[in-house]
Amino acid sequence: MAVVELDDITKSYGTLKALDAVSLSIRSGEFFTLLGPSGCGKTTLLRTVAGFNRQDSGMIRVAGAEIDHLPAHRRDIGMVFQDYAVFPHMTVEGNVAFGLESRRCGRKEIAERVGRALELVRLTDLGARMPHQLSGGQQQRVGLARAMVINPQILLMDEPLSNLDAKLRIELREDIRDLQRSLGITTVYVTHDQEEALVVSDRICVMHAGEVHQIGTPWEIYKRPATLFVAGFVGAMNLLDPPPEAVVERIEARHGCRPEVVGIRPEDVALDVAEDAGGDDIFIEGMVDKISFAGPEALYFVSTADGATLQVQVHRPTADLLGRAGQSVRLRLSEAQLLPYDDRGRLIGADLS
Amino acid sequence: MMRARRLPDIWTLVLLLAIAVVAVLLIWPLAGVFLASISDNETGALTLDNYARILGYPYYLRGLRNSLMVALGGMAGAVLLGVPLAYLTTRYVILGRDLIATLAVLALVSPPFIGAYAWIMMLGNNGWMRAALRPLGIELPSIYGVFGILLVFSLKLYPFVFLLTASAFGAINRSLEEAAESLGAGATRRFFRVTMPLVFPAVSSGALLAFVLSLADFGTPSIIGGDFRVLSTMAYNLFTSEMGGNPGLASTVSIVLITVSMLVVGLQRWAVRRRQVAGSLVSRPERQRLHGLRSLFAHVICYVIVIASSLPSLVVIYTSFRKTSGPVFQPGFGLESYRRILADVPHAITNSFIFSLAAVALIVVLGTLIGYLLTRRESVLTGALDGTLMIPYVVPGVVLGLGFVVAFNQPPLLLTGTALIIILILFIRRLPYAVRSSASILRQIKGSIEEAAISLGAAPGRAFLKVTLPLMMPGIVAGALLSFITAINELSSSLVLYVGRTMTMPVRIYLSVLDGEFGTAAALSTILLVTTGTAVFAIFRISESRENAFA
Repeated sequence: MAVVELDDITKSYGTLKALDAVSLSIRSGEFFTLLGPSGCGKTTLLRTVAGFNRQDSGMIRVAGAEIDHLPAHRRDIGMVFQDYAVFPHMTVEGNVAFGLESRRCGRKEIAERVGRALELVRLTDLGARMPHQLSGGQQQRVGLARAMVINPQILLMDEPLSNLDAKLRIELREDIRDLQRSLGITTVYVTHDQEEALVVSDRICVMHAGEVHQIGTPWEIYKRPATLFVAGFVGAMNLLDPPPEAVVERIEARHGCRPEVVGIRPEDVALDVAEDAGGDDIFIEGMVDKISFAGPEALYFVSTADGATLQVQVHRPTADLLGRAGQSVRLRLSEAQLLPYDDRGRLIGADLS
Repeated sequence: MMRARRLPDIWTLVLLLAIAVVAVLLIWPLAGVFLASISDNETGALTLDNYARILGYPYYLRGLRNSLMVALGGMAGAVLLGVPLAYLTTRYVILGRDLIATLAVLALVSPPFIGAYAWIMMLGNNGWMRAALRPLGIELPSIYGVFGILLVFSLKLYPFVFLLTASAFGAINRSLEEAAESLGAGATRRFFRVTMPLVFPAVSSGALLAFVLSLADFGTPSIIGGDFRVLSTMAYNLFTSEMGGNPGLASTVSIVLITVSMLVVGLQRWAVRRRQVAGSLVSRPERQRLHGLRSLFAHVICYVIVIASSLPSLVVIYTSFRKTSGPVFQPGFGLESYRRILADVPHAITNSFIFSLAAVALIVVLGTLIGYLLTRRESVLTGALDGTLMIPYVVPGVVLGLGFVVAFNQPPLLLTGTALIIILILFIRRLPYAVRSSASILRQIKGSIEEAAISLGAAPGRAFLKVTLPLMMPGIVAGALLSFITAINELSSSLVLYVGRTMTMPVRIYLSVLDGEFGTAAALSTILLVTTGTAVFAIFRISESRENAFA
């Protein structure tokens, strides 16, 4: 449990900048997620903290002490790997005991702590099994127990769920979340799955092309994406480029500058509402191109007069509404939900919220 | 803030050691051969006379033509026997598949020249097979000459093609052939347009091995070639001729041999690179059941091939137990041949084991470490090292033997006549096997496994010993056994380097065969066969238990 501070970390592979002056500070006991598409530098950053990579410049401090001179095996980290990396020639218990043996713990203590760790990940009965007798989900639980049993200062997880099938992924991410909460280990978690990041994290750091785009709570990341990249990467988003004149005027009046692109989430667009609910609403006429029905909700693809296509999410669609393909509709956009971006892709008025 | 670069760790030292070993034991001797080929024997002046002589004298041109003929013929024979056997056993239900595979592997690892000399006993001028058929009016061709060489090479080398191709046939996604069938391609068109191109890389790798080994082989053409001389026998004779050898010309012949080998290796790599087949195995092909005559026909083909190829080993074992009086066979059975080798040449037996085991010990240690370097510490230097380690595959034993004589016959490295020089040449010739074997198993071990150990607080050395090394063990042992098999059966380079004290079993067998001492040759060959067979059995057991353990 410790504060982790990264100060101006830079790392290049040839001409490719994998990490470009990354600075961030992770609070003690926090579940901190690095989120981004593949190649954004999130795994490089995690492996730099672990000590498997050496940064070109910059400094890493854990609990106030600089750790750059420490080789990986002396950094007191626990790491969970994408491909589990369970030692195939050792039993489940042997795997979990490995880190304790490296730390020269006594036999009795090892047995006790291994037992407790296996209980936590619900593998108590499988201690004597070999890894090849376990399912993928069980192997990753071994990986989890093995990393946590040493009670590391920091727990690092590199896409631990991406090799599992969808159902297991949801089950295990809840387990990871609960365990982390109850043990209070400072955790750095890497994923490219934005939904997973929103569910498990205390805070999320969105990265792109080696740069940090936004650090914030899941709420902040989803509701106020700081850059156009974050807006497009996290959740579904309508990006109006160029935005309709009515929208531009309203934003200009409020913030005093013209937006280049305006985003609005599909669930924030209302369909076919005649009445003006408040004074802030903007109405746009459009035509329904296609309707995708998905049970609890339906997605409408609506093209506007100026050539833009908007997705509109309708909850609990009625049979009547589903028959509207090919017809004209009226869309209502609430001004409070509009996300205006300037010519550099930054959220206008971000500091106001 | 910049940090100092990582200190040179243990792996940097290993890399330097590996480079030094390769430079001294491989580059230097071969450079010596090359230099000798362009120098005048007396004056030492640089000259291209030797090359002019080789290209100008019909005698040498015929040698080159003969070499190419046996290499291409051996390759063609190996492909003609190996591909059908692979296809039949992977695509149809053939009874006794395991027996077929075992017999093929035994043919592969049996001492190479045993084939030649067993065929002499069957098809030689007084061979029993010819003698048996002569009263029936059937005159079998004599084994001596090019026909015999091609027969021996084909039956000896087809297992390479068979084993590589069989695994490729077994790994073709069945859907691909079904797709071709659904598009209206008949069986023949399907086989040549879809199946064969997919297994081409495997077939050509096997064919390449057959070519290179046929080209390099010394024992077989030397024993049954008669007047049919090839470059490897020419190089040996030029070097050891009693009327004052001609090291310059021997070296030139050697360089021509290496050049041909390398050209063909390059050609195969080029051909395969253009046909990289991205495989995704979804559904394995199924073995179909054949009926009636077609089934009988398929079985006959398979069993004729493997029985013909194991015939030499059986003949040798049988011969070793025949009653002899001196070199002459008597009716009945006895152990005279074994008594004689124990009395006359016990040191050949002990030497063979000591030299091979010593070489294997060196090979295991360095091969494992280099394999690790090549897969886990990739750099320009390790890439160059990897490429250099291909050299022993294409350099015939006779040639490297000549190089060793040239390089190590004067202080400070006066090694000729010692046991060490034989151990060192076995070591460098078989090192690539162990490197390949440990590198390939390392590629199957995920790098994250070692990082997991390090993240749990194990220092890199401990992580390697506790996690990576145990996982590599099956590969290391298999590589060691393979090196041992090929080392204990090594003839050509030992023949160039041996003196009386450092005689080995293969050398003694070769000399016995030349002297017509077939009984003792058979007894020594049987010892080699049993040793080799045991090692093969051990490899099978290891690979089985490995499949069970880390599936």
